[in-house]
Amino acid sequence: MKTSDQVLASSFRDPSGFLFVSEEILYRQVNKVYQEHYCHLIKSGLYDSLIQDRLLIPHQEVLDEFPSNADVYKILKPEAIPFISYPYEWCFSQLKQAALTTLEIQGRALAHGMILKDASAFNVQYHLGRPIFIDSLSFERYSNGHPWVAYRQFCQHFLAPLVLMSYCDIRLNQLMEIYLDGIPLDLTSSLLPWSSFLRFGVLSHIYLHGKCQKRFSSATISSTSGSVNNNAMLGLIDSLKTTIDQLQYKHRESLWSSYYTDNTYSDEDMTEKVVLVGRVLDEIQPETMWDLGANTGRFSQLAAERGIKTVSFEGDPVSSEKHYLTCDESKEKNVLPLIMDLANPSAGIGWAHQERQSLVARGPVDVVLALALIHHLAIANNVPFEKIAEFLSSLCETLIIEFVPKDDSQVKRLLSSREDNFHDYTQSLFERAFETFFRIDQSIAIGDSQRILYIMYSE
Amino acid sequence: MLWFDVFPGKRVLLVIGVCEKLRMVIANCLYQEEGTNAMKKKCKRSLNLLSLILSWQFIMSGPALAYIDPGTGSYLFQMLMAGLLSSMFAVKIFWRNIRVYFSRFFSQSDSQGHENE
Repeated sequence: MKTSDQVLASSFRDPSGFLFVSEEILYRQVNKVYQEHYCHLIKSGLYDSLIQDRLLIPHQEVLDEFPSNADVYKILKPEAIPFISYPYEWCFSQLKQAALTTLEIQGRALAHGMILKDASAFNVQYHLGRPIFIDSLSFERYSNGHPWVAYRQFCQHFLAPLVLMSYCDIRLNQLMEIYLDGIPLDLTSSLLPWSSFLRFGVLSHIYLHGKCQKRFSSATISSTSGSVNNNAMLGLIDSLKTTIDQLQYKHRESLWSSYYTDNTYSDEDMTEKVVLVGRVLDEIQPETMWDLGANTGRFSQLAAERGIKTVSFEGDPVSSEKHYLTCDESKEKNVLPLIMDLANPSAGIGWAHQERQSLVARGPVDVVLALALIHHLAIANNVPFEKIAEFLSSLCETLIIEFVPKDDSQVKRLLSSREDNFHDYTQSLFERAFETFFRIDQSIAIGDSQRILYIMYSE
Repeated sequence: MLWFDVFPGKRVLLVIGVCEKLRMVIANCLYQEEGTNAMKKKCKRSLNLLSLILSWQFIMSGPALAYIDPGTGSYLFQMLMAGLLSSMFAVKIFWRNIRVYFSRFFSQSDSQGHENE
């Protein structure tokens, strides 16, 4: 590591190594204390087995490019992931697939004489449409008979939120933002309905496990004295896998999940909007795009078809779930659907507010697409045009935004139960506010809908 | 190192067994003497508690070495569940093998039947 390189703010807990950025490229230092485990990871064939099935992020060893020091054993250059997302931004099926991926890796590690020493949900990322494990230093040699050190972490990071989303409410994954080390099992037990404990997996891994944690919290323990034999360890992994496999999200429609089929727009207007957005994307030819208020991803798909790496943000978890399942079924590699309330986007959290990045810190992006969004921010959330324009200008270089006039049926719906004191909500004031931060390049009327599509460039 | 560290898998059962035996010996000695029912109950309760404390003192000893906190309760829970999970897994594998055997057997007899036709 050179003196000008910067260590990642989230990489400080594991003494085995850390991540750093050098000339805008991410590297991982492997410390000498991890040498034995790293050698076994490579020589046992576990690394190759995981890489072959895209379960672990591949890396190159680039030690020669950096000056040596007393601690360093290897420097790795992992394959770049364009966008880092967090478990509290994932829908139910994304978290479920991430959990099953972690268990698959644990099973393979055991078969190669290794074990996962941590099982954090933050060690999994979505890359090219699939969950992939990103921490190459999470493996250690397994001494037969020892319990799984990361069992508590796995249950709190994966099983607890999944069970809560399945049995209580799909929005409860948001608890992962409050409890960064996973949802406490006693809290999970208190929120679950009694019927859930009829499932052996929920009863044992959540309820009894939580009771055991509480009862013996002050006892000390030796990690050198094990009493879980290999068969029991395989049984534990199999039991967790079966429990998670059986968890289902019972699909219920939300107000927004049937937006495309249940609105007052004519088919012609919608078709024209699709053609227009496609044409604009062809003109701009961006590499990356964020679709804000993506719903079930109809317009994100337009970008994906053009090879644009797209992140689709949607506040409604049911719509995001639907979108992800569609992407998963079609094996879409260019779209990542995420849950995000744009009136309260993900903040910088964790140690010193720097461990998990805010949405803005993960930008900027080439293009932001904000279709049928402005009225939700300006009217439903009372955010002035100036503030919306300022926020969007911090995210992108090019903005494609749709202005929805007050006469529109969707705006009337928002105003149906409240007093209309939005006298500033006009097209001319919208343009004036956005011209402070952007240069308006084009404004195109969308069919007979009175809606206007704007293409703007950041000043 | 204690001698039963050589057989770590049997450590929990061994310690609980020894404590339970000790409890029964002391209880038998005490109950032979005359006393009120209330005293007997109190004595039993105290001995049960003593047995539990002794068990945990033997099982829980030494420092934790993992870089994340494994959680004492989580560690212990795995030890307690080990037998059950192991048996369940063995039964599952056993039934899976039987199913695979019969599915192969029937698929073979089906294909033979088709060939005969």
